Amino acid sequence: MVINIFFFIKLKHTKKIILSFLIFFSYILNVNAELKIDITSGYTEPTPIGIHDFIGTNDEEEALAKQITKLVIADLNNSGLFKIIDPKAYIQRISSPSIMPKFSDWKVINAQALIVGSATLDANGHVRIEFRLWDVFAEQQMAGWAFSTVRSNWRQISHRIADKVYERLTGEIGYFDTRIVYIAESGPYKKRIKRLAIMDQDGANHRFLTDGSNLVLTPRFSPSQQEVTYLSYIGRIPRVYLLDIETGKQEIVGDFPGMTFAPRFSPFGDEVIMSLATEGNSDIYTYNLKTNIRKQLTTYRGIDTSPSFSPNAKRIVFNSDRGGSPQLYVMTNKGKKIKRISFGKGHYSTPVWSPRGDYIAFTKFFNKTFYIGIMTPDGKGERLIAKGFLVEGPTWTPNGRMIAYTKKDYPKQKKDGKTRVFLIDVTGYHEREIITPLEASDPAWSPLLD
Amino acid sequence: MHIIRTISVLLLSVFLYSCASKSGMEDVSTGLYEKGGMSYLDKAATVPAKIYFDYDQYLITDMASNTLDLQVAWMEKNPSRYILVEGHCDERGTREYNLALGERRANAVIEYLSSMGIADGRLNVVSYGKERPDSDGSYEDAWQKNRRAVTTIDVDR
Repeated sequence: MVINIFFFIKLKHTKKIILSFLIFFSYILNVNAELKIDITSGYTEPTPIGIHDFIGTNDEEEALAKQITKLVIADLNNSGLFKIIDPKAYIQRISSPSIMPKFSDWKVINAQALIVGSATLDANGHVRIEFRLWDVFAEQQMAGWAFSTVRSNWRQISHRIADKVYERLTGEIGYFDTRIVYIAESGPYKKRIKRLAIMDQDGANHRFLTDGSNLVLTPRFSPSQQEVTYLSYIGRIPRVYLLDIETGKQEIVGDFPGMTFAPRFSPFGDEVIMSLATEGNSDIYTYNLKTNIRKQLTTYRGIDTSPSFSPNAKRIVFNSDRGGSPQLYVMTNKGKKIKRISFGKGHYSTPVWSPRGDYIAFTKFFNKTFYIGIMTPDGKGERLIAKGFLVEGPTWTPNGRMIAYTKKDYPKQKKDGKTRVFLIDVTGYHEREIITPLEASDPAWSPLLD
Repeated sequence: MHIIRTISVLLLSVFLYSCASKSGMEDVSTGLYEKGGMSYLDKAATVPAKIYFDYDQYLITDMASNTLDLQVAWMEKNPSRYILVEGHCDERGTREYNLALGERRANAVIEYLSSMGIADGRLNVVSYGKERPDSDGSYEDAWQKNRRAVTTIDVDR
C-alpha cells in the first residue's frame, strides 16, 4: 500500500518544487536494526551501496533518468562515505521503483543500501522524479520521496536526492544542494586579477559575478543566500559591499570613515559584522541592514578583525593582537566578557564558528607552516586537520562536518605554487580539491538551498 | 570608457618613456618614477618612495626614518602634492589580519610625516594587505621586499 503525502514548498529564488513523502505503511513497523553510518569518529570505510539506473518509460525519460543517476552517484561518491557498486555487478534488473526489490540479489553483492528511482515527463515540460532508499539487510524502506518541478531543475533535484540519502544514512544534514562563492584568481602574483565567482558545490553552473577591474576579497553568503558581502577596492578605497546574486547590483555597507573589511552576515541575516581600520587601529563593528545603525564592539587600540557569530548570534569569536600576537578571542554580541581561547604555540587567525555551534575553525601559523584547525568554543580540544605551505580561511559546509579552505602549493624552483580551494572532513580525512576553471581562493559555502 | 582609458595610458607611457633620458620613467597610477628597479618621488631619482618593515612589525626603523626624512624634504618643496601611502605585507599571514597590518604600516608612515610638519590634510592611507607584492616568489628575499610602505602621489586628489 502506497500513501502519498504532499508537501508544497515555495522556493524564493528557484522554481517551485512539489515534494511528497512516499510511505510503505506495512514496512514502517519493521523494527530490525537500521543501517547507520557514523561520520564523526575518525576514518570510516566507505559503505558499499547500489544505485540502480533511474527508470524512464520512453527515450527522453531514460536520457533524463540517466543524467540524474549519474549526478546522485557523483555526489555520494565525492562525500567519501559511500562506494557505489559497479552496475555491471548488479543481478536484479529493476523495472519499477514502486515494487520491493529482490533483497537476496543485493545482499549477495554486499550492497548495504539500494537506491531506485524514476523520472516521468509530462507534456508541459514538468518532470516527476521518484526515488526510494532501501536498507538491504533489514529489508525495509528507509526513505521515499517524489519531486515535481520544471525539467531544467533536474540538477537541483539530483542534489536533493543525494542529500536525503546522506541524511537518512548518517543522521546528519546533507550538503549537496549548495553553492560556493569564491575568488577566481589569474595572472602574475604581482598583478593578480581577482573576480567574485559562484558555482554549484560540484562545479556546475559556474559564473563570474565581477569583471576583475577592481580587487575583490573574502566573499561570504547571507543566510538567505541571495546576497553576498565582500571587500572591494572600487575607486581604490577598500570597503565592504553587498552584492545581489540575481541582479548583480552592488551597494556599499554603511558610511564609515575608513577602510572596512572582513565582513560576515549575522546568523539571521539582519546585520553585517566587520572591521573598521582608521589611524593604525582596527575595531569590530556591527551594521544593521534595516535600521542602518552601527555599533562598535571592541575598543582595544590594535588589530581586532575576522569576527564570526555563533549560530545563535549570542557570541562572537574574533582575531586580535591585544595579547601581543594574533590570537582568538570570544565575546558576547555586546562586546563584553572578552576571553582568549587560543593557547597553543604560534599565531591564530580567521576564526569561523561552525553552523552546529560545536567547533571554531581557524588558521594557525607555526614554525613556517600553516595549518587549518578546530577547537571547541572554550578553547579546548585543539586539533589540526590540514597543513601546507599556505593554507588559510576555513569555511564550513552547512552540516558542520567539512571545511573548505584556500591552499597555495610549495614553490617550485623559486616560482610561486598554484592557489586552489580544497575540502576536508572535520576528522582530518579525505582531503580533495574543488575544481575551478582558474586558480581560486577565499571560498565561502552557502547554506542549504531552502 | 575602459578602452579609451587603456589607450590613453598606453600613449602616455610611450610619450613619457621617450622623454625619459637620465631620469626615471613615470608610473601614472602612482606618480612615482622608476629607475634601476627602485621607485622615487622625484624625477631625478633621489628620494626613494619605499621603506621596509620587519616581519609582523609596523614600527619605523632607523633606516626607514632616513628615507622618510628625504621624503619630508621633498614634500616641503612640493606643497601642492597630495600624498597617499600604501601599506603592504608579505604572504606569511592571513588575508584579513594583513589588511589590518598594512593599514598600521601606512599609518605609521603618515604619523611620522605629520610629526615632521607635513599637514594632515595632505596625507592619506590605503592598505593592500598581501595582495600587491612587489616581488613574486615564495622565499625570504621576496617577502622582505613585500613588507613595505610606498609613498605615492594621490592621483585622485
